[in-house]
Order: sequence, then C-alpha cells, then structure tokens
Amino acid sequence: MALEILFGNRTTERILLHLLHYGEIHARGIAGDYGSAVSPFLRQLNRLEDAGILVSREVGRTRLYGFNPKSAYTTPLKKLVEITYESIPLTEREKIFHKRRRPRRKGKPVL
Amino acid sequence: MKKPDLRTCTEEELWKYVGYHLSKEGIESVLVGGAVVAVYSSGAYRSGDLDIIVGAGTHMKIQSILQTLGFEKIRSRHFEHPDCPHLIIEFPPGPVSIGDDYKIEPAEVVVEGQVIKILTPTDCIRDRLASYYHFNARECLDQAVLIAKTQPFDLERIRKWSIAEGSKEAFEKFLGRIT
Repeated sequence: MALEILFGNRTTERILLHLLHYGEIHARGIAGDYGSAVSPFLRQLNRLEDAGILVSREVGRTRLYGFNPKSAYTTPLKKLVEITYESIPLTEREKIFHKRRRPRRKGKPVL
Repeated sequence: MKKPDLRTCTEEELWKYVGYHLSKEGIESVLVGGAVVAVYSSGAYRSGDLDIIVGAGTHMKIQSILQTLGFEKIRSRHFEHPDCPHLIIEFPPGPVSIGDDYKIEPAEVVVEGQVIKILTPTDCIRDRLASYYHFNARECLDQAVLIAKTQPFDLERIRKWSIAEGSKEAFEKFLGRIT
C-alpha cells in the first residue's frame, strides 16, 4: 500500500493504521495482531516518538503509544493514513483489526 | 558572554548562555515547553529541562557547540553538563508548533548582540493549555494560569484557538481561574 512506499517500511504502515483504528496501541499488542516479533514494532514506535509524531505513556507495565495531538504533522498525517485505511475492503479490515480493544465490562460474555 | 554559575543557574540563565552561543554560530533557536514558564514566571516555576527547537540539519553542529561548552550527550537529543545536573537540554524535532498551528512567531530577545527566540506569553499559554486539553495534564493548566496572571497576553486568540481545538469547556475552566 502507498503508506509502506511512503515511509519505506511495512511496519510503520501497520503501526499508523492500527493507531488510526484503535487510537492507542502497545508494541506487544500490534505484534500479536500480525503474528510477528515485537522488536521491529518497538523500534519503529520509538523512531516515530523521537520524531515527535507519536507520544507514549506508561499504564502499569505497558507503554501505550498514540498520535501526538500537539504536533502540526498529526492532522495531515492522519488524513493520509485514513485514505489507506478506507481503501482496505471491510472484510479485510475486520481480519486485521479483529481484536476488540474498546472498554468492555469485566465478565461480560463474548458471543 | 560571561558563563553563569552552572551549579546554581536558572532555566533562564542557561537558556541565554546556550542560545547566545548557538546564535553566534549562526543557529537560530526557539525556547519552547515548560522552561518558557520558568522564564516568564521569573523562576516561580522550575521545569528542570530546556526544550530548544532549532532548524533541520543542524544536529551535528549543535553537538559540537555544546561539547565545546562542556555539555555531554546523554541520549540522542539530550545534553547535560556535569556541573549542572539540575537542568537537562533537549532538542525536540521541529517545527515549532502548537496543535495544528505551525506558523508560530516567537518573541525575540537580544543577548549581548545575539538574537535568541522564545514563545510569546500567548503561545506559551496555548502550549500549556494544549497539554491540558489533550493529555488532561492539570499541572499544565496551573502553569498556563501562572503566566496569564503575570504576563500580558491575547485572551481572544486563545479563546478562538481553544474552540478550534474542540476544547471550549476546558477553556472555560482556564478562564474561571484567571478572572
């Protein structure tokens, strides 16, 4: 996809698409979604954070990453990512973002 | 320029010292972040670090200038002086921006003939409020209030920007604290 060409690697594209979909992500979570190793995701997340495009915060022992809302790059970048996101067929999107991460009451059964 | 006493210097003294030497070597710099609050509050707030934004492609030159001044690189963008462990200098990636706004016009300060730049009080308040609006950082609201109570600023510009950021309610909280 275009983002992979633009950013020079597939991992960054996956990170940006996941961020657009979920709002916040952690390295282990996204690596698990793709059945890949954690370290390439961690490396790219840190690179994007160093560039000021992402910000991160610790929750327990997990570091969560999100778009940096204080960066002037965020709005135009999200628009670019959105174009790619919307170009992915819905069935494919459901497969990629199959993990439900929005709040869910503890103990509520999954149907 | 006379070197400040690095063991006890304030954010403002260190900023002027470093900014002067960067400017002398042709590097334009802008002080942003919490250190601006320290400067405008005359030390009532201490940030503990200096965020300085410089032009793209100047990293190697900056490293050389800072090493000449005795600073050591502690991480990719962070520098520390062994005599000044209470203040860290960071060079975050540019451009200077506050949310979507990257057309920032900083204030200019002349230090012994060299021009160094700093966010204006209005932009400093916007920068602190951006952290309050987006990260729910209440300490940044306190800092914005501190500046608003001690420095002249453009309230209408902050109001319009806050609404554009989708933070009208949070702006009202800020307004309630300063009136």
